[in-house]
Amino acid sequence: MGYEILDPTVDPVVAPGSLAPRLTTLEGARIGLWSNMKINADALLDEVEKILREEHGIASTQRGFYNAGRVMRFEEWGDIDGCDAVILTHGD
Amino acid sequence: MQLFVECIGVDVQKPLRSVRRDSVVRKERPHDLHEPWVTERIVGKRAEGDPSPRLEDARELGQGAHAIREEEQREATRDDVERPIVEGKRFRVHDLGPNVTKPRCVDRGREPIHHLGAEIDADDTSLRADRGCRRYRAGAPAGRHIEETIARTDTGGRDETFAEVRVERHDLVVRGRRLIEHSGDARLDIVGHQRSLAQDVGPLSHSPASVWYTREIDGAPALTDELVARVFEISDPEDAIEFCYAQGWTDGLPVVPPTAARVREFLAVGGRPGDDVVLEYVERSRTVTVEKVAINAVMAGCRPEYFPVVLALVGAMGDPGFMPHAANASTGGMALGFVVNGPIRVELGMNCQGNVLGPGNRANSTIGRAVRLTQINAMGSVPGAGNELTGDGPRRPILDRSTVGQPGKYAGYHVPEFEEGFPSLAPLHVMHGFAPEQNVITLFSVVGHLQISAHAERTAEAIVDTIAYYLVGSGRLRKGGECVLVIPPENAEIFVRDGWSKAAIGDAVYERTKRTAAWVKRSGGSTTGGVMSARGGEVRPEDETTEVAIAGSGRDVNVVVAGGPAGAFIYALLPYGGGFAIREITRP
Repeated sequence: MGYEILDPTVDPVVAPGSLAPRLTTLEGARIGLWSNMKINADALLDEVEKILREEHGIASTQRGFYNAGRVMRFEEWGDIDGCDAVILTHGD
Repeated sequence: MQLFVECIGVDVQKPLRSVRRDSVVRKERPHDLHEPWVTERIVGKRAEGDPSPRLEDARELGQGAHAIREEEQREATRDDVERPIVEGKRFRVHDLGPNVTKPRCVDRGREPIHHLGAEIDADDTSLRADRGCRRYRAGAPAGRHIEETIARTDTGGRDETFAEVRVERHDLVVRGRRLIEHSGDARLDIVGHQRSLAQDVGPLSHSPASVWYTREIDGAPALTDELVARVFEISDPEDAIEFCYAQGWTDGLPVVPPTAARVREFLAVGGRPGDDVVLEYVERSRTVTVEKVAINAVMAGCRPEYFPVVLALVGAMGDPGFMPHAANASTGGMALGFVVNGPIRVELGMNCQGNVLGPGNRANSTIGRAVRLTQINAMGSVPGAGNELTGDGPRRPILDRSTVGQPGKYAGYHVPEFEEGFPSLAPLHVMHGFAPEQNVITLFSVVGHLQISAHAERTAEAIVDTIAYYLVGSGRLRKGGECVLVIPPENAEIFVRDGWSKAAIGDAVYERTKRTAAWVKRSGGSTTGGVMSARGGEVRPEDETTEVAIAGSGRDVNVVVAGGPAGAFIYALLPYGGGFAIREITRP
């Protein structure tokens, strides 16, 4: 008989989910720009906002911060519901 | 308070199948936690005098648990006991009612025996140790207290029907088909059952200590000690260490191959069922069980008696205020630090003196390593950002994105406190409200350490001045948070001589590291460690009144006495901001 060893790993068990509906156009959209509060995240979002405004005609943006170290409570997301789409940025 | 446990869900044991791959035969077992096995789940707590269970208090164990069927609920309610609860440490078997069948226990295909709660007739002699498993089951004629039965019997011997059992936990009621009310946690009871028999009446059982899971086998609830982890069969034991490397299960150092026998030893000491949940790592959708922590503790080189400490540390990662995901994934590369207090330090042979932070002591090192291996394997904090195409193991997702990492990630910053050295400096756990005799761990995240030489300082005032000087220069002043100061005996003696308490030390360090945010910026620093704001940024009006320090308050400066007898090297364990948790170590 061989030598039996046990698996120390745990497989994730993820509940099935679905993607949010895709926007057909960015024209006139309100885009959320959420940062993980790191310096470079804001710099990246500034560039992204510039492109979205100049090249895709978005109407407005909403800025916010999120904590990448834990699951955020719903109320911590602030005015995110008012956005048509949201970009989350990790600034590392 | 009483706890209810229900049997829920049904599945049938599937036969094992084997897949041969090179020299490894991998056995696919249907025992994965997310398989719909019968599990016992705590469904509520009953207040004293309230006979009805509160199902809305249900806490699920593991994944894939089925909902409680209505008929089971009705049966459970009907069988609810209104008899007075027996205080003390005895068993009592209730009248299970006409619809309850006699459950059976299958132990690895041997003769079935009855398990706890079986309906027993007055002259039923079938409740005896099975020839194979040699475990005793206590029982009594329905409706009668076991005290009466014990009074008439002798304990010991395989042919005895009854035996005295003592357990040491709170009352527990098992609902459904096995309705038992006894003074003890049902799970501990099963383990403690065997152990307490040995303690009270001599070594009645010779089988190794086991931890029991509830399974439904052939349609009936049963107990089994089969572990749930996948099993890999290595044809040559010499290959086991290399196999673990090949799977990516290590921290870069060799591990002890986790056999079932070794893991069971740990589970027996831990006193909790293997499928008990230690930590729900919600950010990565992983449920970390006692069994998985035990496997990783074996791999780390722990002895079984270290396991309760490891369990406490892993469990503490799920406490409010501690962010395990930050510890597992951050580019900042934090290590975990922990202080151990209480008599357990001495019992386990932990080192709290010279080289307390390592190397050299098995308990110190392996306990910390067990937590790290649990992070890597069970929590998926696989290191190696940028190295996805190289490395020892298969391509598991890289979660630990630490830029540089650090040596503290191998075994943590382990600090058993030298409580015996300076009794006037209260141990850390006492500072946080625990009794001296309690065994306690304090868990925190550490970005690194700063060695502070305090050899020239001859007074307590001078020492804290020096500590504060170096901490201010560390660039870690911020709002809130904690830090840990490890004070060696040479400096602790001076604090005691000058009549300083730990609280006084903490307050002094806090006050002397306190600056305004404006001061920090004008000095060229950052109040976020340079991560969220650049050094020397623009000074805003509010910065003139915003205070920062090495910790949130004097109380958040955690002073720990440890280290060798010579050398005035104070160690500041610098905070990361990933949280702080304190928890008692529990042992059966």
